[in-house]
Amino acid sequence: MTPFNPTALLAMLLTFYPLVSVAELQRARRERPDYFAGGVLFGTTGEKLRLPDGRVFDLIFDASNPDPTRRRWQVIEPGPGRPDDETFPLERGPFTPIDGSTWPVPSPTPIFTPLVAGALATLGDADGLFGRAASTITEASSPAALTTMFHSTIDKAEGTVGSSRNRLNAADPSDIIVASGGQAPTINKHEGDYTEEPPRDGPPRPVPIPEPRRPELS
Amino acid sequence: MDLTVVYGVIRDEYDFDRDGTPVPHKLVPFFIGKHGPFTERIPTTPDWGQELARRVAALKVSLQSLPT
Repeated sequence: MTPFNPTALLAMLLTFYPLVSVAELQRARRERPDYFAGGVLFGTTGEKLRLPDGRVFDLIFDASNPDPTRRRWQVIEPGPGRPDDETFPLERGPFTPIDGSTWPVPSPTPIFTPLVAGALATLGDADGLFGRAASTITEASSPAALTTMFHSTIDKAEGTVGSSRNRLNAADPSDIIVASGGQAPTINKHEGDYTEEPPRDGPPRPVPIPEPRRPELS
Repeated sequence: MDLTVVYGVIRDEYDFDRDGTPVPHKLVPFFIGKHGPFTERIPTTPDWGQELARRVAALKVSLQSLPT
């Protein structure tokens, strides 16, 4: 029987079975049994491989995920690992409880209180400063000044607009209409065909040049 | 990464289809560098060597994609 090699199995799965699923794993087990070294598939979804020597390998990451893009091939050996795995060795027993008296006792002298008090002392009369600032903000936020300005400006504008509106209502444009009607005959007088002779086209007529006087021969 | 291919003994074997007809293939074990053994079953056709080369090349690509 071909010996089991996790790297060869993983490379084979990555190369020839791009779709990661339990069905594809079973197909690989059927088509290429040599890579599985006589192991059998098992697990909640059939994604694990148990070799004849008892070792177990997980072959699909997140096998129960319904999204196939989340699954991927892997060949890892889950569980507590081998007894001789010294990656994270355990302390040999028997274990003894931690002696609380060996822990350092907290110092009774306050540490942070003097620091905070000193920082506050450097600020000086901060409370008074904040109080004055608050009263300034309160005075500035009073609507009295805004109300006074509103009455002296906006309220007057209402009366001005009202008088202008009344003048517009009282205006009578009939005289303008009559004057416009009187201009109609003057305008109509120019309505009609253009009877004047149009100017001639073409080059201008040459100006006759007088002949030069011939000298008289004696 | 060492990707030198070392082939083992190639054997002629037979599978049987649903009708019981024997289907010949070649069982090719090989190593790629220190990885393997890989075992591929190539159908016995005149160009089985090309098919084997194609599979070996694809396996090399996958091996190179694995974390070292």
